[in-house]
Amino acid sequence: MNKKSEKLAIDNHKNQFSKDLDILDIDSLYIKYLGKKGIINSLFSKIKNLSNELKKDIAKDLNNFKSTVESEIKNKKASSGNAPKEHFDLTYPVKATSVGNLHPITIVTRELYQFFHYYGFSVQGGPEIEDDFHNFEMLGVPKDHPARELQDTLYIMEPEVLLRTQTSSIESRVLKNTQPPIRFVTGGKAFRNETGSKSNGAIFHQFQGVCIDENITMANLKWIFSKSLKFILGEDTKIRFRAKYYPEVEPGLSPDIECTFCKGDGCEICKYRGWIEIAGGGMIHPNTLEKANIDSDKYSGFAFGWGLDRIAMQRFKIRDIRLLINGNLIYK
Amino acid sequence: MKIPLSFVEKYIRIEHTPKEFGDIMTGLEFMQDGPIKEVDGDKVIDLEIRQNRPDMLSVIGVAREYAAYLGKRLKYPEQIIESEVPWETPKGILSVQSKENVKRFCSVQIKDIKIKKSPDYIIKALSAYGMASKNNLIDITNYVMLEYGIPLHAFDVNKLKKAQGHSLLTIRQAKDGEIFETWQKTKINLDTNDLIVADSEKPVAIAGIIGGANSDIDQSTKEIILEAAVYNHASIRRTAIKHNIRTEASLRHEKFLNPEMVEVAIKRATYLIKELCSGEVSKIEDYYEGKTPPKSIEFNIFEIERLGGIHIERSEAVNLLENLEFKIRDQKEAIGVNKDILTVIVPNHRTDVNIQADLVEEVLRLKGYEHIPLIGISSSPPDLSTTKDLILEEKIRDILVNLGLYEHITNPLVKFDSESSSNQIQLENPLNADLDGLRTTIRETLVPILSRNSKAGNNNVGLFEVGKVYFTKKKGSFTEERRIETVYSNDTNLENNFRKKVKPDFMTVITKLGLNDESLKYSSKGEHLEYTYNKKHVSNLFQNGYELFTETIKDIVEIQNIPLTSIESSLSQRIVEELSLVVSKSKALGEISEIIKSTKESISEVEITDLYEDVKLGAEKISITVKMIFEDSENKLTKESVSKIKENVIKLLNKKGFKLRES
Repeated sequence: MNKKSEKLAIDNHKNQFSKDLDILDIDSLYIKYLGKKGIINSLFSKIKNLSNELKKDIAKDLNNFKSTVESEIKNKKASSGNAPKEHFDLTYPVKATSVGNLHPITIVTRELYQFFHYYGFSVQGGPEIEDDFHNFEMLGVPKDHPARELQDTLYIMEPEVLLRTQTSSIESRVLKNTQPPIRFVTGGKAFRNETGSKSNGAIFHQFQGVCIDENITMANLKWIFSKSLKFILGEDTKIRFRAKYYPEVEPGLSPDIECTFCKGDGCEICKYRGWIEIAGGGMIHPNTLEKANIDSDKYSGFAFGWGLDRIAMQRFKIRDIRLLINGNLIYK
Repeated sequence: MKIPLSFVEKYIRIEHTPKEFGDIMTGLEFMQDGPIKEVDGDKVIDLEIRQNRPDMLSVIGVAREYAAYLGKRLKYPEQIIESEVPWETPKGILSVQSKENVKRFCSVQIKDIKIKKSPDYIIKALSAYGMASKNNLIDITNYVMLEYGIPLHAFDVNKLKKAQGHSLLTIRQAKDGEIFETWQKTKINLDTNDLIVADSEKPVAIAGIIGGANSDIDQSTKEIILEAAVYNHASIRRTAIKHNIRTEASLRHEKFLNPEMVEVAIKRATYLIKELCSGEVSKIEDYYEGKTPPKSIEFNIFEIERLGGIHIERSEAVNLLENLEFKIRDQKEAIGVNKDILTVIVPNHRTDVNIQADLVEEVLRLKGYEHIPLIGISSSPPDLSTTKDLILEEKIRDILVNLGLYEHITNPLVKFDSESSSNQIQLENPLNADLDGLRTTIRETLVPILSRNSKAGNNNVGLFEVGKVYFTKKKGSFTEERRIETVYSNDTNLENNFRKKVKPDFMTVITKLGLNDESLKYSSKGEHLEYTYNKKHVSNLFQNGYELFTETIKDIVEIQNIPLTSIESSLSQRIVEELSLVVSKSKALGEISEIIKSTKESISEVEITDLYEDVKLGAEKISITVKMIFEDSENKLTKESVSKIKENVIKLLNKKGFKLRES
C-alpha cells in the first residue's frame, strides 16, 4: 500500500463525512466515525503496518481528520440543543389544556346579536324588577285581563312590583323613550311563578326584537323570522306561519317549524301536530304605540321573540332546561 | 277545548278528514293540541283556545270558523220564539243589587218539569267532551253551554227559602264570613268581594262559578229557575282565583262575554227543556241595563296592506269579513263616501274585535298567512344604540374566558334571610319557601357550583357569572345592579392559589380594562379589599375571587379601547434587580409596591418571587425576595443610576419596617 492510496482513502472519508454531517444524526455520526469500530479507529489500525515515514505523514493527516470530526460533531450537538434525546415520544398521553367557556345561553345570544346587528338592530337591556305598567298594562294586559292567565307572576309587592314575566317589558321602556325609527333586540331572564319541568323553566331566557318605522309590515316580520330561524336552526328548516293571539300585537303571528323527529307526520314530541311552535310575534298593537306616544297611523312595527333556553338545549344537546341555571353544567 | 266532530256536524258538514280539519283550525288561530282521539266512535279534536276568544269555547264557535273557511253558512239550532213567552224586566223572580258586577242576568221560571234520563245524543255529546250525564235538565244546561259557550244554571225553586216581599233570587255581594257549600260539598268562606246568587236567606250559588248543594236539581225537582248571565269578568276572575275554584262556568265568565249572547243561550235551553223535560214556561225575567248597539268600526281597507304587507281587493276583503259574520253597512247611497272605508258591524259573539288592526287580522287569517309574501326591510336602519354596559360585559366575558374561566348562570332566587340585617328583597308569593328572596351578591349563588365542579374532576377552576343583584333601598323601593363576579376553587392551598391565580387574573382584568394606574386605590374591608378608581367603587377582591361593578366601570373606561392593548414597537432597556428583605409576618406586603411606585422612578414591575420562613429570623418574621424590573425606552439607565434608585428604595422600605436582609 503506498502513501498516495492511503491518503486518497482519507480524502474519500473526508468527503463522505461532510455529506454525512448534514444527513446523519449526532449518534449515528459518532458511531460511524468515532466509535470503537468506526472509520477513524479502523484507519488508525491500518497505519500500524506502514513504514515509519509514511506512518508519520498519514497519522498527522488522520489526526487532523479526527479532530475535525470531533469538533464538527460537537458543533452539531451544540446547535441542535443539549444532550441528544435517546427517544422523543410524541405518543405520550396527556390531558388537554382547559380553556374557559361561555355559557350556552351566552353563545346563542351572541350569535343572534351578531346576526341582528347585521340588519341594523342595536342591543338594549332593561330591569328585571318591573312595575305592572311596563310588564302588563302597556302591553295590552291591564289588571284582571283574562290574558293574565298566561303568565303567573312572582311579586315583590303585589300588585305593583314584580319580577318581569317577559322581556317585552324592555320593549315598553324603549318605546316610551324613543321615537321611530326604532330597531333593537334584547335578551334576558324572565320569571314565572310556575313549577319548572324538563322543558319549562320557572326562570328562563327570552330573546326579543322590535322594528318600528313607516311601512313596516307582516311581510317584513315573516322575512326576518324566516332569515333568523334558518340562521339558528339551519337553512333547510321548514317554517309555516299561522295566526296566534298575543295581547301586545295585532295581528298576531306564530311561526312553527316542521318537527324534525316525525318530519311532519305527528308524534309525541310535536304533540301530534307535525309542527313545533318555536316563536311568537306580530304587529305591535296600536294601543301600545299610542301609550308610547308613537303615532300609530304613521308608524307601524313588528315585535317578535322566542325562548333562548330551547335553542341552547337543541344546539348543545342538553335534555333538561333546568341544567342551564342550576350549576350542573360541567364544561369539559 | 275538546271538540267532538259529530257535534260540529250538527251545524255544518265537515268536508275534510279529521287531520285536515285540525290543520285548518290551527291555521285559523286555534292550534290543535294533542292527537285526535276516538271516543265512542266519534273523533274528538283538542284545540287551544286563547283568552281573546271565549266564543270558541263552544262547538258552534268552532263550526262557525270552519263554515267561514268553507265560505258557507251555519245551520243554527232551534230556539223558542220570543213571542211564546212573556219577556219582562225583574219583578218577583229577580233582584239585582250589585249592578256594577252584573251586565245581564236572564232567568226563566219553568214548571212541571219531568226529571229523567237524557236522550242518547246528549249523553254522547257530553261524554265525548268529558262530562258525565246527570239528568235531562242538568245535561241540557251543559249541552247548551257547549253549543254557545254561555254557562247556564238551574235552581230548584222548591228548595229556595222564600220570604214575603223578597224576590226568589238576589244577586248581591256576599257578606264577610258568609259560608257557602258547593254542590260538591266543599265549604267556602266568602267575603264582600264575592258576587253571589242568594235566596231570601243564604247564598245558593257563587255567581258565574259554581252552584250550591242547597238548591240543586234532583229526581224530585218539579219547578226550576234557569239562568244565564254575563258579569263583570274581573270580579268573577278574582273570586275564582281567590277560592281556587276553576269550573267550566268560571273559565268562560272570566273572559269578555257579550251580554247579547245570553238571550240566544236562554232561548235554546228553554226550547230543549220544553222538548225534553216537558216543562211549562211561566215567564222570563231579564235584568239588562246598559244595553249598547252592536259595535261598528270604520275600516280603511288600505290598513290591510299597511300592516299586512299584502294587497287584497276590496271585494275579497268584504267577502272574507262577511264569511266571518261581520256585516258591511251598505254605503252605495251615500255620496262622496270613500269606497275604501267600510263600516263594519261586529257580530255579537266577537268581543275581541274592536279596532281596525283586529279586522286586518280577521281578513288575513281567513285568507291564510301563507299568502303574505316575505319582504326585506327597505328603510335604512337607525343609528346603533347598543348600551355601554352590554358592550362592556361582552368584552369582560372574553377576558375571563381567555383566563380560563367558565361562565355559569345561576338562579337569583335564594332563601330569604330574615336574620340578616342586609337589604335583601323578599318575594310575596314564592314558588317555595326556600326560594323566597333575591340574591344580594352573585357570589352566594355561584360558590355552591364549585363543589359540583370538583366532584366532576374539574379542580382548580374559576367560574364567573354576568348577572344582577337586587336590593331594597327603603321600604317599598327596590333596585337592581348589573355585576360580574368570579369565584375560584383550589385543591391545595387557598393562599397559594390566591397568589398564583386569583390575584394575577384580577390584575389582568383590571389592566385590560385600563384601570391599572395611579388612580386605582384599595382599602381593606376585613374579608376583602375594596378597589376604587378616582374614588368610584369598581371592584372587590376576595380570597377566592373578585367582583366587578360594571355599572360604575362603564362610565370610567373607554369602551372602545377594551381590552387595553399596549404594544412596544422597540425593545426598551430592561434591568432586573432583586432585594432580599426581612419582614414582620403581619405586614401587608402590598405596601412594598406602593412604596416603590411612590418613587415615580422607572420601575415597571414589582413582584415577590420568594417568600419563606427561616428559624434564624424567629417565628414572627419572614424573608422575601422582591424582584424589580427597571425599564427605560430611551436606554438611559446606567449601572450607577439603577443602584442609586435601588439605594433610595431600600432607604424608603427601611423606614416602613422592611429591612434589608443581611447575608
